[in-house]
Amino acid sequence: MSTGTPLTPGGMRRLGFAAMGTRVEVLLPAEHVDDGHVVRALFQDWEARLSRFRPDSELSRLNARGGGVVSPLLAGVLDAALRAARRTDGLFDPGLCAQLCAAGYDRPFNEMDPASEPSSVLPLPGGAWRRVQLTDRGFVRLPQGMRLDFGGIAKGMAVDCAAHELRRRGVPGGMISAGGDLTVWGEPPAGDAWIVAIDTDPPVPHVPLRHGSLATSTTGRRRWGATAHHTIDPRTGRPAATDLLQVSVAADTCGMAETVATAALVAGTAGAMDLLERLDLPALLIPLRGDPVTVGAWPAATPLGASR
Amino acid sequence: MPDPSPSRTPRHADRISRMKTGVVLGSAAALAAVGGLIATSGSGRAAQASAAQNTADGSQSTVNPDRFTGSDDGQPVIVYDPQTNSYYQVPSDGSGAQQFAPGGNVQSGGVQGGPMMRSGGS
Repeated sequence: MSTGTPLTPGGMRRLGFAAMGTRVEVLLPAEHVDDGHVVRALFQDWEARLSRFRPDSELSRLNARGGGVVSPLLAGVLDAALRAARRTDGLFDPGLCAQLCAAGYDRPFNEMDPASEPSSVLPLPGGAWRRVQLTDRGFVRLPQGMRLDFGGIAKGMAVDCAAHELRRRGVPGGMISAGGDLTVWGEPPAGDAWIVAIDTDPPVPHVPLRHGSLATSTTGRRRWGATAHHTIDPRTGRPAATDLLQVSVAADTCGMAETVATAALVAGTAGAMDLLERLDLPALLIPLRGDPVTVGAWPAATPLGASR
Repeated sequence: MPDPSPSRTPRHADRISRMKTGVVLGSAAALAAVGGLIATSGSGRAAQASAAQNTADGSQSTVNPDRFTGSDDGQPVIVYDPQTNSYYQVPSDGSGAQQFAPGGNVQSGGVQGGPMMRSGGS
């Protein structure tokens, strides 16, 4: 999947670093490049607090004890995750950590054996998020046996938070991406939009994004064994058997875009279209077989390459 | 959400466009906002002030009292407060138009200048 190397427009600087299990890239006006350290510090902080792979993280401690008073950060991410679960009728589910581990994703992906297979023990379906208790003082109680995984939503929300902080510091425009989940703000360096390439094969036209966020979820990456991947269907507790390879969604915030993209991917084409129509969010669906489908206001065009 | 745009019909088949045909059924009008920007104004500042006041009051957390309402009225945003080295949450303020730039350059096979970022899942 190659759609060209991203370009750094004149007058801009690009920063990059690894965090939260992915690569973070920041595109800033050259005169504000020193503000980029804020993004790195923020991602490192979020990873230290919210990673399920760090036994000393606040999330791991909450998962281990099943309840207690949590920090405003963890409470805020959990609150957003529960909203996202409600918004997607549970197709996005933040309580699938145990199911991910049962599928074999029980350590950082770069430490996994690519030939490993999921556990033969049938996993429980998701849905336990409905019984999570979260009070306005940050007290959390998890249902028995449920553990939280904030992998995707935390990355998206960290992008949102970092962009907000850079705006507060007076950075007039920029772009932040965490593994392809990204947000933009301000005037683009050229033209009237920030240009995003969607990784597909064959390639599709680049997406001109003026404001807001865009996120892509796929079953084509983070795969292991014969068929396993990291996107769990909460209805089965197993890696989703979906007719979609990839979903890209544009939304107000990166957290929203990421969670809806995941939910749409799990839902499959028909369910994804229902969900996206209901939420009125533009999207690009890449099916395993057949032509890409655009939903809502997503700009459509003739593929750049051969027909799928 | 009802869409007054005459270009959109209630049927799925008419509301999607297939790249194979290159038909764009969403008009420029349909590119209107779907919600708020990252909270930067109005309620966002109010929430920020509220959170700062919580801190000044010496309460145990900087939680915004608007949080945890159980409603589903938009995606809240986590905000970092460097003065207290803490995070708090503001609701989406629901304002501001955003979305894709309408433009024929997409249909003509891409955008001049090349991509600035890539999105392909992670």
